[in-house]
Amino acid sequence: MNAQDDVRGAMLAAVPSLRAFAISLCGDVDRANDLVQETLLRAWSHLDSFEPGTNMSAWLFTILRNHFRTEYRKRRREVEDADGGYAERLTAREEQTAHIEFGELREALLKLSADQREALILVGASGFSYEEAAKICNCAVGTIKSRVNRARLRLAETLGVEAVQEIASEPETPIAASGGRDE
Amino acid sequence: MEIKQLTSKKVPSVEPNLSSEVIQSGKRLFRRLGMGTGGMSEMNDKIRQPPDTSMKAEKTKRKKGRLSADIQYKLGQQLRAMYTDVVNEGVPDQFSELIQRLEKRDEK
Repeated sequence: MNAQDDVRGAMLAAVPSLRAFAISLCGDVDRANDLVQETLLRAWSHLDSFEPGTNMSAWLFTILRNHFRTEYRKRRREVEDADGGYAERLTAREEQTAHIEFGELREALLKLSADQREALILVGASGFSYEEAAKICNCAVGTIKSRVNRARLRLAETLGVEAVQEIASEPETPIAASGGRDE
Repeated sequence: MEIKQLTSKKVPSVEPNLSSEVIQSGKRLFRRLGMGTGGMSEMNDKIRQPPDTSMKAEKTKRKKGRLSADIQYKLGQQLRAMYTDVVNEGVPDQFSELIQRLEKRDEK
């Protein structure tokens, strides 16, 4: 029973960040909650594939990410048709809640490719290392690094930061490549 | 050569397909972050000096690096703040109830 308590505790403890990750990915709170719910259901039914002692949070993020990507492919046409459907739902939410000040940033995030968005959020907001993020996204560490860098440039560009060209022209500077911790 | 390119870049290059609303809101955001054009013009003034030695060119380069680090830092701060905003909402009841249901189901 103790082991199960641990699992339950770890799962519940991960829910707030899972929701933050999901909302950042899809820009829609209801859909994000669905993603988290589906993630918990899947995790629960595949608990035997979780290696005790490893990072429960990273495991759950992987499940959520994969589920989102599968769903994303399925929904792509719908999303394209809707053209701005995300933005509309996003606006509705922003008006209802205290999230107004991040509306611009969320909107800019949604303009990134799914690859870049997930990489940037995992490293830049969720606090995963490049290595952990690479595992979650099932790709090479170098790929994550370049996606994070490109995501930052694109984000700054979308937000109208004038210095973007200068960063972009200097991809080899240590600072531009220094990674997600931003310490 | 490189320096000439820098100073000649006056207009912020923004993708033409972005709505001006988004661009404006982005600018507002960055003004709030204290990242308006003030710092930029100050930097441009410094860059406008003739590049007489390679030492100077080297200095300019580092200056640029610092600026980009600053922007990255502020972007990162905003990202984390946005994220934390959701994290601070805690665990909505639907999820603790879900786990409870799953546990009960397994006990039977």
